[in-house]
Amino acid sequence: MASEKKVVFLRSSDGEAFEVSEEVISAASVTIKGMIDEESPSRADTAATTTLAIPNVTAATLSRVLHYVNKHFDAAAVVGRPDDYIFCAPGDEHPLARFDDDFVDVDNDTLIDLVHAAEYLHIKKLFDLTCKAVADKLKGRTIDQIRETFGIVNDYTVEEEVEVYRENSWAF
Amino acid sequence: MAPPELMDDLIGEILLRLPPEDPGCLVRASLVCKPWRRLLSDPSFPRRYREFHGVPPLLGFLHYVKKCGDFLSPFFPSFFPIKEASPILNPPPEPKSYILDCRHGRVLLFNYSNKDLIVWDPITNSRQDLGWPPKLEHYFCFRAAVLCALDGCDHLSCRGGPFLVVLVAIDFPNEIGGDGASARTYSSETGAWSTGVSSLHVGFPMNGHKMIGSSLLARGALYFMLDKGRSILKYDLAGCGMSVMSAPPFTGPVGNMVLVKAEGGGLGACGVEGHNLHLWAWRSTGGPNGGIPEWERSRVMDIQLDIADLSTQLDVVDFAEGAGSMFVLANKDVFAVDLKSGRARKIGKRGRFKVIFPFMSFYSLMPTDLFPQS
Repeated sequence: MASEKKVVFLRSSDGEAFEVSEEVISAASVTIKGMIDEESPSRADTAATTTLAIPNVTAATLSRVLHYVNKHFDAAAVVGRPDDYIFCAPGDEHPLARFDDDFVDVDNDTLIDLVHAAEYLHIKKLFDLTCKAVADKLKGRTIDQIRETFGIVNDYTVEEEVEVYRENSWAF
Repeated sequence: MAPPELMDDLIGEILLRLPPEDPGCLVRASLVCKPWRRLLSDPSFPRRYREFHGVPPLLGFLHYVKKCGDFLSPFFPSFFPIKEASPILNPPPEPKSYILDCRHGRVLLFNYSNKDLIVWDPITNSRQDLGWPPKLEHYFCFRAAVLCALDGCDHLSCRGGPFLVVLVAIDFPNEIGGDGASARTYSSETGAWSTGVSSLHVGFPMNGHKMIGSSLLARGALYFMLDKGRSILKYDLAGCGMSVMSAPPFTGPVGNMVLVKAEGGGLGACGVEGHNLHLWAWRSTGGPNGGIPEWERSRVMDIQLDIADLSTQLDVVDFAEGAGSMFVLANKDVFAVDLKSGRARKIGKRGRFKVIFPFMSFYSLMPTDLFPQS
């Protein structure tokens, strides 16, 4: 039997379907691998392609996630050893390090959607990358800016705030 | 549209990735709102944070600062932070003291005005006075080391736990031509100096007794450089025995060498000649000449230093065990040099940095009950 590359379709929360190689997405996402494994017995002898519903992820986010997945987990597309780039020192150019930098260079809402998607789909590398990117955004911001970015309401009273500032004055 | 909300567990994951090199980040994040503060001051957070980041950050180093007008004690120890916002607010507790060693978040000081050894935690500013070993009256010089005393500790969070101090004193040379080295230990658990004393005939020439650099802890032994770096004293922590070995055959300037951890974690040494790093590893068995223990030259590499004048002389000052970095002095600036890549970055500008002791530790928010959960 000719071994054709199997594909699956992922349907986003807003109804758009995306095609992706089964092998690639299984390597990337623990959640989807689990879904595929559950489906397997019923589709063993049928030629029908599988469509999996991804109810928590929008089309805009899912298409970004799949872009990342194809870049990182498709053996044919990955240059060099896939994990090497993590150990590159800053300044060392590696195609994937560069790709990752550009990938998370997005607005906050998009980035946070990606964190949620990576967590739901259980894609560890993407989860690490996006959480680190959010942490990097916290670094250079004032407390007010952080609250604004994440829509957080300040629940400290003035007295409490003064007390914590006084305790940790070195950090400001 | 309201910004997307992050669930608590995701906030924890993000805060976990704040850089330990800038401890102020954690404090500022704790002021965003009470739930964030609760996450950060929960006892499980510091543990996860340390496990995630592994190697403690270099927060700065201790060195000596000149005091004007005081001829009796012209220098006092001082902490030099690498980041602007530093959690170390207090100077070393005794101005009339020498810095002896720095390890596992603790600093060992010698108060020379009343002959007292002090273990100081710069972050909590707590100190413990150890006194001086009994019956140790006459000595030519001494060196000492402090280390965590917990078995199998990863030293990521042993602050405040039991510690051990090892002190090696060298006698005055005598007529027979030899000197003796004797070692004593202090355990924080017993709160006393050891009564049993290990000793060793070291037999050094009279001149060049100065011991340089701080100690090195590698594979269950402490190492001290002796005799301007010509020989090395080993103190075995398990057996409490001592031995002396010669230093690597370094042809560069005398004294321009420090003990480092070799690849694989054993004893190593690194000398600087010109702008080259010379790295050696001690092979106790299976060295280049079979079973005889000896030094093996592992690498020579360029230091990539961002300074305009390439003729600047480089002086090696110390080694940070946990970070695998060495510190060199060039034109009064301190550079940290990564032993793997040879890359150097400037960490201190224009100072009197003849001797420095790198201080590495995690900072974590102290548990707080300022605002109990209502």
